[in-house]
Amino acid sequence: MVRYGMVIDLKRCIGCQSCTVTCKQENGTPRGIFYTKTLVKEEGKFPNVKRTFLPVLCNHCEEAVCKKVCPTGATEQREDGIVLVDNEKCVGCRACYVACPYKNRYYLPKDDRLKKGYFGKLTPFEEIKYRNFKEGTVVKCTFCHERVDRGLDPACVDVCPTNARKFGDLDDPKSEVSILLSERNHFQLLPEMGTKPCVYYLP
Amino acid sequence: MTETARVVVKFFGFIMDVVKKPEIEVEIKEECSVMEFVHRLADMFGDRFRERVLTDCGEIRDHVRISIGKEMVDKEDYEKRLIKPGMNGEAFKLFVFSSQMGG
Amino acid sequence: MGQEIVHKEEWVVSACNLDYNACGIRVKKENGIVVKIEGNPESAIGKGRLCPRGSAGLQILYDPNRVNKPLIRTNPEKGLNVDPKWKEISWDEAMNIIVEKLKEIRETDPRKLVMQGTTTAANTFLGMGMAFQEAFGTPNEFYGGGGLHCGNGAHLVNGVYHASWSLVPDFDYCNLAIYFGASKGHGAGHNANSIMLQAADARVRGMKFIVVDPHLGRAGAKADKWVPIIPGTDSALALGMVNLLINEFGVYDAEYLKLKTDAPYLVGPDRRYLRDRETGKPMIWDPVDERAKVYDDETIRDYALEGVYEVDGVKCKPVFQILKEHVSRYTPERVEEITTVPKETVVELAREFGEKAMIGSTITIGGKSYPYRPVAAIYFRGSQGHKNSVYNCISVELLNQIVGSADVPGGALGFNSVCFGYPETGKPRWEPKKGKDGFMMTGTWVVPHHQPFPIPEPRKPQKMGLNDLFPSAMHSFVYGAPDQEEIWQEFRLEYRPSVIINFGSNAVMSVGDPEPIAENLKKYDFIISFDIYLNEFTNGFADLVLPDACYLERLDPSPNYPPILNHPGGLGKWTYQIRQPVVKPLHDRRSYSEVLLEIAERLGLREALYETLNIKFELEGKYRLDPERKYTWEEICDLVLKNKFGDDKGLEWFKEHGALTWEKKPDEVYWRWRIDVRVPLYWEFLYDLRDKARKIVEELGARANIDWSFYEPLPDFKPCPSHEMEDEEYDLYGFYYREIRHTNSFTMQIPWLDEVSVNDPYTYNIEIHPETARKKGLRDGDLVWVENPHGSRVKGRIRFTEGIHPKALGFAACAGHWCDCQPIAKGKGIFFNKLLRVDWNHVNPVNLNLDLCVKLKIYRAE
Repeated sequence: MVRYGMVIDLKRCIGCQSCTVTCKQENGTPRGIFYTKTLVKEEGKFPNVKRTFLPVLCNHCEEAVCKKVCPTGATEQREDGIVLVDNEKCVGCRACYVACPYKNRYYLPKDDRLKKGYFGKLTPFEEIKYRNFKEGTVVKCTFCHERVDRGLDPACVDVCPTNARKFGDLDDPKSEVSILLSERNHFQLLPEMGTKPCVYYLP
Repeated sequence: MTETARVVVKFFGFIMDVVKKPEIEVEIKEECSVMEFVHRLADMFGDRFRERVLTDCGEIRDHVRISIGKEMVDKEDYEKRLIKPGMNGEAFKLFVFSSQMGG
Repeated sequence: MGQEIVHKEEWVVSACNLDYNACGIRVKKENGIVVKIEGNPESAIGKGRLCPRGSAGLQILYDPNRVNKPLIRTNPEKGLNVDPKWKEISWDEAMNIIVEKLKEIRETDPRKLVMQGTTTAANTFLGMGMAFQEAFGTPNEFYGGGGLHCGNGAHLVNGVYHASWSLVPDFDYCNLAIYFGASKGHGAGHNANSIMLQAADARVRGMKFIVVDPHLGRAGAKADKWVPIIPGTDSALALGMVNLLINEFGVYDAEYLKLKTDAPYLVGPDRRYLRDRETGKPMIWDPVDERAKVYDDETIRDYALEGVYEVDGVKCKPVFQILKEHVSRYTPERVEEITTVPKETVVELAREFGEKAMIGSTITIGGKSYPYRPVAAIYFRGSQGHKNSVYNCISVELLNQIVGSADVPGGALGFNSVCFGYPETGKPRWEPKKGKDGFMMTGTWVVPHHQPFPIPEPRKPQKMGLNDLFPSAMHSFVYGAPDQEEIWQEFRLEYRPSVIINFGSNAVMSVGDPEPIAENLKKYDFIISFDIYLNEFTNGFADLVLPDACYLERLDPSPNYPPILNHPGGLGKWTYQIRQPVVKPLHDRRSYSEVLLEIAERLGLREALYETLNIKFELEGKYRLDPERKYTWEEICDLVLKNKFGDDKGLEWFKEHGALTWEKKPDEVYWRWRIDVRVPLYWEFLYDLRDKARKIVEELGARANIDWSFYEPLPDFKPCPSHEMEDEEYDLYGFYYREIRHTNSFTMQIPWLDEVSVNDPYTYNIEIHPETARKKGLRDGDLVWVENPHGSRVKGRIRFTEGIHPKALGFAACAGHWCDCQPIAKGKGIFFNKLLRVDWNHVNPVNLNLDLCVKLKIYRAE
């Protein structure tokens, strides 16, 4: 079985947000919607201070609570583990949004952002991309499943200037992600929630 | 002696404010080196030309380029390369760049 | 969902232009609409990856705020907040106006033209823009703050020591890099994107980074150690380290110093090199034969580095001896006083640098043995952007020179100083060569017809910036000086510039205090501006705006040439690539290069322009442009490519393949010992520059206040005006830093970049230390004024961070647009440059670099 997952090397990440931006061009997400983004944390006191960058995205959990709570079956999980929202079935109840411990789902509100885009009127790019969105539904990272189905990495992995993100089959011991996890210390976010997230971090 | 003892001289670049005309003809009686020829031009046009093209020691400045017809003259050849009357109809071209460093 | 079937998917290979780095890109179109920009994995430039700016580029193409038609100003009034009342006109009308204006000054005095460019699109400007300037016959060019702020010091010093535009650690083999106000590999500067990967690989490998900087920043965040420092005091710390290395620890690479530098050159009591009477060559002392010899005498058995010698009755010392004595005053205690870096840290830094240098060790790469010095001291914008610009850079560079780590494995690499060329044609090809006194001259340089060494003779100013009187200056402050007219009168400038052709520079925001710049710009008769967006410069002062093609609509035959500017350094591959239109220019937009070509034609400058392009692009034989016929820009680009790579690799080949890539050889990267050149520790030639410049200044009777003590051959710490500020009210050092998500000022109009900037704690806010704020009764997020001693002030929100020196305030990028024509950018971030003074007192007297730190007071905005 294939189980897709991501491994993010925090030693490499410099918080440039190229992933955030390229995700926006790949997916054409409207204003305010981020399938991925990088958080900044500062610890310590001058001059012994550490600033760390933490990219976050949907964890495509093995135990996806979002799927369990969805009343309409809009949130589905593929056999390879990718969690998707079918916006034809989504009624915008936001149960998943509340249930997700990671808060990496976004509700696309019923406002003018799909009509006005980023500039006040839609660009040709936005006209193409916004066909995939429906206001009043929940949206989230798809692991770029259309790219993955064509044998490509998700856009954020492909673009990363520091090669911090790796994508692959966690069930395949020979995949780059599995090898990294076997060689280096790693952690998942909020493992205590029992969600079995498929995004791992190398400190 | 060839039928014409004139050399066509064309000026390019940051020298137009000094020479005014982009092209002149200079009469020469016998062959001379590129270096001598440039000094001769400097005598014709005066100090402003001299300052623009030559160093205090009379060397051709680094940001000056010279070609005879289509062929660039190497800096090392300024003394050796000869200007001959007529020059087979080829022009002596003097380029003055504005000696800038960059960005 | 009503998904439409994609009829046509197409990929076009090209080069980015969100900054000068021009990474390889591939662009996807669906039915002719650009839907995705990715890195081109075939290109060594970017290696298939993109920085956030490159990822956001397609929003430029479709921004409805773009300029789409030529615009003529109908409001004769000009000013920072004046509505120009633009009126659309046709290209025909625009061209007629331009040709008429340019004809007039070409006939009266071509010097009146100023070509103004931007570093962002340097690789476009350096092609046709500069050729047009030379063909027209004006000595005047200006690059806005992108030039004036960033490189007069660093590029000069990198050029002299490394034959390159800039400096990187050898990420493949370096074990310790100390960054002085540089962020190489962390998002800004040369090859920003490419070297992010190299630096990340180095971190994972275990290379240690130490970052000396007033704020933590992105480089500091990823570093093993952050050393906070008072802005502009880098030279004191570096000289303190040099002092410890050579006077305390006795750590230096004697062989390197003897053979690759002027360390053994003898200096007399007049502080000049002792020269051979016959040849004029500098002399050294041979301790074996116990006599002085010229430095390149083949009988030399050894070189003395220390001691006092007598030659023909003159007492003299080797440069190294003088350096030893010179740096001895930079004790750790004194360094701490100046920099606030604790003396223990100074000692620790010097010791570690010396130990990790592994002097004497070698390494085998590609079957060949090289000296191995895995340490590098790196400097750029932060350390060089001060009144002490030149000395700050030299001081840091001395660390590399003392341990012999320049351009050897593991060390500090000037990148791409050597190129053996594409194997099939041997072109392009360059390498450094020996010049006067044995010193290195660069093999290629970003701006043609000039070399960082030898610095040309000063002469009476012909350039509006006086750069020819101060010839190590690339960029000059005079453009923005409040007393510009007085300066021109003092220095007897024979003419006054009256027409500007601007290419994308927002010089009102990028230089300094905009008020005097505004007054200076009002004096121009006519300003033509090629722009993708209207901005504060165009709206305030341009008479005619031309709708420029953006990088996705434009053809450039050499976006990464010469590679000492923006091709990744170190081992790896070479790539030559082009930039080509991904879509035809939308609306009435036209490419800058094509328009200039047409203007030149209509001005009767064809022969001048073609001959200049022949020289600039080194076109030879059948590839030369023949003034007897007329070429299109495409045809010119085709010749430029075929001239380098052969008839089968012209424009058509490059349009299809995008990038030509071949292997780099270790000898191209680690060339220092292969090429017989030396570099100066002792800049004796500054005396010649000083004497000639001072003589001219005196002859002209100019009363400018020039501090000639900056022309001493050995570097010193010299204070910025901010260090000398006595009024206690102005107690904080303001500085700005380059932000990874922005290039100069124009990227703030790109919504995706704006959005991530809004979400970032620091990009649009002022970094302040919490203790500093609390003492002033300020809270995190407060709206404040920061004000300089001259009464200029800007407003912004403060953001607490432990990652800033308690005596400093950090500002990001060049933000704070106020013009309605860029609605996304308007009102975002802080316009720090407004606080900068642009005058004699705030420039380096050698290279005219602007001082970019300023003393500020801060108070809550009501």
